[in-house]
Amino acid sequence: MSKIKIRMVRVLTASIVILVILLGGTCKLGYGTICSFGVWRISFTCPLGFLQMVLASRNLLPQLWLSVALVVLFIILLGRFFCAWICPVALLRGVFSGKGAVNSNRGKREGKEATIQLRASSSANPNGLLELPPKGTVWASYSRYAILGGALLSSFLFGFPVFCAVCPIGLFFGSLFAVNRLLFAKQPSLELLLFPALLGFEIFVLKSWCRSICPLGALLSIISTLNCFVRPTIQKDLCLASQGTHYRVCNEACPEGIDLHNDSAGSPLKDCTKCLECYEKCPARAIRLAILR
Amino acid sequence: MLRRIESLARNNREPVVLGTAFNSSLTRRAFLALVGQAAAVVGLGGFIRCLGRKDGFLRPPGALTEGEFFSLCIKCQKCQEVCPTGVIIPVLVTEGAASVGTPKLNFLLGYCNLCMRCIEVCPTGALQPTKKEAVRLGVAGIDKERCVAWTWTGCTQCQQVCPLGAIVLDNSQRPTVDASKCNGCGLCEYICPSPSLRSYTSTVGKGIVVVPLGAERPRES
Repeated sequence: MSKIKIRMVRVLTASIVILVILLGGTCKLGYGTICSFGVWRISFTCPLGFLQMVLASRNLLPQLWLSVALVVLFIILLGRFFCAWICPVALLRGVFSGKGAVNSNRGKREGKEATIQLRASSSANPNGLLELPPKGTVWASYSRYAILGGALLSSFLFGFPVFCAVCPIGLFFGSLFAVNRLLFAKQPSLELLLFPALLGFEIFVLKSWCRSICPLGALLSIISTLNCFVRPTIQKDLCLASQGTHYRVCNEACPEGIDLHNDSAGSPLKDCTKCLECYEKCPARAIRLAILR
Repeated sequence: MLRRIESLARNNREPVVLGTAFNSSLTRRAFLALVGQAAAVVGLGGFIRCLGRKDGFLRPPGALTEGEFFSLCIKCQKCQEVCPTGVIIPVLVTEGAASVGTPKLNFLLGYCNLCMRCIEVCPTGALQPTKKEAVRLGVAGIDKERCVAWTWTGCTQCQQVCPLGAIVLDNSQRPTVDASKCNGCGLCEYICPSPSLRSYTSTVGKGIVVVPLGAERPRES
């Protein structure tokens, strides 16, 4: 049985977005990049870029409210879908890491440690109900919020959108356009080396970019608290774990470390990128994508 | 299907996790780590700023003053994409690390025909709607060591193309720029044939060059 994997669909959507933007850049269609993407009069502006500019220019920038509101509307509808379905960084990570989800955010070591600690403590806990060790885990996962705060403060202090200068999404399109300029305008530049190098450093050396660094993801998470559509929920009557087995397929599949069985156990549901890995992997088809909260 | 589920259940010996996995007690160490990360990003902004926000780029029409422009441009590349003459290109790393990706005009590649499409697409207002007559991108100046008419004779290309009549010929048929009429559209620089006419000499560069307002004009004595 050949089944189209949702992961491949995500690779496809992210690739289409990149192609459209490249086409727009090459054929002078003026779509812009993800920083501010627009076709005709409809445009979407990066909410992080917007906040940084507001702080940098000390101006409320009403001209951008509509296009930022559109983005917020989409987040209310679909949560952090951008991270799994559009972001080229997730695509790069997925393609070059060669395995796992497109946004394989979950640190390997983190997972292993948790497993070891689980096993170690299982003998001490006779009824088999365990608690993961506290040790400030949750605060470490807040680091991207700290970086978001730092980026906003920095923009305010130094008067320019600071994170935009190192944003891997910007670097990605900057690299593509540098290649474009080389091919179509015969203008080689240092960017051809520099942008991909910095991008590679951010994605492959700082391995947990999406999970612990990306301030855009952090901002999307914050806005996603308003998200009320397409939330994965467990149907208790079908879920094997709810019936007492040791199943955790959905937990292991989730790149964000969300535990659908227990809201307070893993990452909060607002971190859900709607990647649908849990939905696809659940052997009992017990995960429903609730249209409404 | 059911059999597969059963076999999976047998193999999966992981204990059920209930209760809170995360304890939200904030240790001092974790707090300092968070503060450190935020501070590092603030430092990054300072570092980029120290690399220098070089002023004196030729910006597209309607650009705000350099400081305001710097705070509003998100480097989305839209202006560059829509420019019909291809005169708008991003600032390169080698020209100013802090300004990388912001748009500038390169009159070797094109000129500004004041179509104002860049202003229309600018999402942030870094390029403000401006009347065509009010646009002042820069001002042209003649490099007398490179200009064919000044070093030799005969060329009046720039004078012929200038749409504003800002280039006038002196008694010896050599071009001079009337700075009060020039809006810096760059057509003169774009068509100046000096580099190709002189490609066999050591001379490089255009005989007429547009420079930002307030910047020093070329060796025009």
